[in-house]
Amino acid sequence: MDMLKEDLNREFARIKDKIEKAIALTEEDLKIILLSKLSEEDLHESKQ
Amino acid sequence: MKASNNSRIPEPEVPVVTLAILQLTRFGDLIQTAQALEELKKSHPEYRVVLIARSQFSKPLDFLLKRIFDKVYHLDTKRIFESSEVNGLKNSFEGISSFLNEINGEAIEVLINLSFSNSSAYLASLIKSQHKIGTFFDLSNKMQINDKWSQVVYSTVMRGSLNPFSLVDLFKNIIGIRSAENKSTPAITARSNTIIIHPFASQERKAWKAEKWVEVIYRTLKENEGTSIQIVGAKNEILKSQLITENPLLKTFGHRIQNLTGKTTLAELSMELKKAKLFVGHDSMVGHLAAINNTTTLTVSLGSVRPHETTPYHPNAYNLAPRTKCFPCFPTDACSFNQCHHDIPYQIVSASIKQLLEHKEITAEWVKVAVSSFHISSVNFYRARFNKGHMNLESLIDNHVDSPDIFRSLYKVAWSFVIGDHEENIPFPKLTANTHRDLLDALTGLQHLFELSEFGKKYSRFILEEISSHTPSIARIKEYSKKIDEIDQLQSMVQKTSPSLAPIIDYFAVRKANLYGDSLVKLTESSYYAFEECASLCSILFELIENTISEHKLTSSKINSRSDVNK
Repeated sequence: MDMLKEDLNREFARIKDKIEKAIALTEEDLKIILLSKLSEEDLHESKQ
Repeated sequence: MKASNNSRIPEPEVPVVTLAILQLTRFGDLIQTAQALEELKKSHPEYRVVLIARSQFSKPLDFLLKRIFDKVYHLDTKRIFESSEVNGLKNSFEGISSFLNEINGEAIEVLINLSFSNSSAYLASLIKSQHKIGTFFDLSNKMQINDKWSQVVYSTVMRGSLNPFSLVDLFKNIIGIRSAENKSTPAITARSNTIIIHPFASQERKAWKAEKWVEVIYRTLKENEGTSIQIVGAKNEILKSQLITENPLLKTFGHRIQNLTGKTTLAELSMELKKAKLFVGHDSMVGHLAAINNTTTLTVSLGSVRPHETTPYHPNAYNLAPRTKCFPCFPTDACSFNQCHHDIPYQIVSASIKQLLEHKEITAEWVKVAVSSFHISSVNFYRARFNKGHMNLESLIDNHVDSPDIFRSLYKVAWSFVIGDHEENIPFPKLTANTHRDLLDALTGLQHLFELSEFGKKYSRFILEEISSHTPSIARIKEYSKKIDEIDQLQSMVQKTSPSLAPIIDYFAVRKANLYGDSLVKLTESSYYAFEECASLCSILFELIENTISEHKLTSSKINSRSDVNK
């Protein structure tokens, strides 16, 4: 099991809930989204 | 008694202004970013310029980047995600936090995000800076783009084929570099009789199959005695390179072919390019590295490559692109046949190599005389020209300027005037029956867009008037806002009937999504100005097209009357 993926999914659900309720995100939330984007890009890069 | 001036009041220290450039994309974009910044460093050596880039791209280019940037922050995701599969998010979170702490130790005056990816926009939102240019997210997770040139890039680059600007020029425009001086053609220095070929690209659709390169190499070595070829590429391209070097057709020339694929660092490759007479290859970072070393480049553009965006930025750049209807495509488009690969004949590449080796340049006259019309009929052939510090691609085929070429020229004049506040002087393009018809179609679309923009201005004004009245009616404000929404939808529908107007429509969609202001009044004012800018861009394009058509009619009537006299 990929622990990073599991953690990101959990955090994402929390952030999504905040966005839906129009609650402002925090720097921590943005860092989590950033990490997820970077990891996606790394995966894409490794396929090229 | 003597006056002493030893105790002069020391001059106040001028604080150093720090600019941070964010570029998270690949090698090619990083080299082009370096080219733009090189000009800034020349005009403003007093600025401290730092770069934030991904370490897998920035570290191999350190030999180049350290010449231009005062400091490079390498974002090492390999380290950040090390053992994250087992340990989860915690260590990665600490890794990114400590990277951000390091950058935020800089007193950054302006952060300029030149990569238009989501990751860079999130990173930009986390970097402390007095001003931010380019994309970033706000705390409601909405992407913000506040400067107009970044809005142009976001709405036109990789969206179609009508962006007229080189990426380096767009970067310069975003940063605000105004270089009036033309890039001079560098003096020809003594170079070895070597051609460097990079026959690969990041995607298969952007590169010919090995057989076609074998034909080019065979003819080049056969027709140019004393010339040798170096094939270059990355480690993962070694097998592909062997398909070329081990082809039986090249057996007799084996001693004149050196396969350097996977054997050089980028610094070593850069040194080889500096010595070589010519670089030939597809759109890749090797061409940009050749440009940095003033080595003549001949690029074969295929698939999703946009020659006007990514042709190596220097005066000795040539670009061959297919006239295939679907070119340039999008990386996600399905394609099983790669028609564009067949539309550039290898003969034109080998003939161009011979010409560049013997005469160092290719002219429209040479193309007319030396290249068979059968071979030239399916290609566009461009040469880079610098005007007022910006690069243009000039067609080397006299009687062929297609509709996208014409629209790109017109857009260049219009964007430069409306956003860049400077005038571009471009000669009137020659029209054919087809291009004439396309221009007439665009006139109709422009008229619709102009009228819609005028309506947009009107309803924005109504909202402002309603707000400033003694008894503002919320119902009426809502009604006018609804009208503005309808106008936005109608504007996007114009694109269906006039696809050549996509750049304006997309730009204004981005512009309107980024209205300024924290109150209804300011937002409505900003909306008014956006519609006004749209109307002004439409009227400029309308006038340019009308003048182009008038010029065409005038020239045609002159030719006709001359032929009448001859009868």
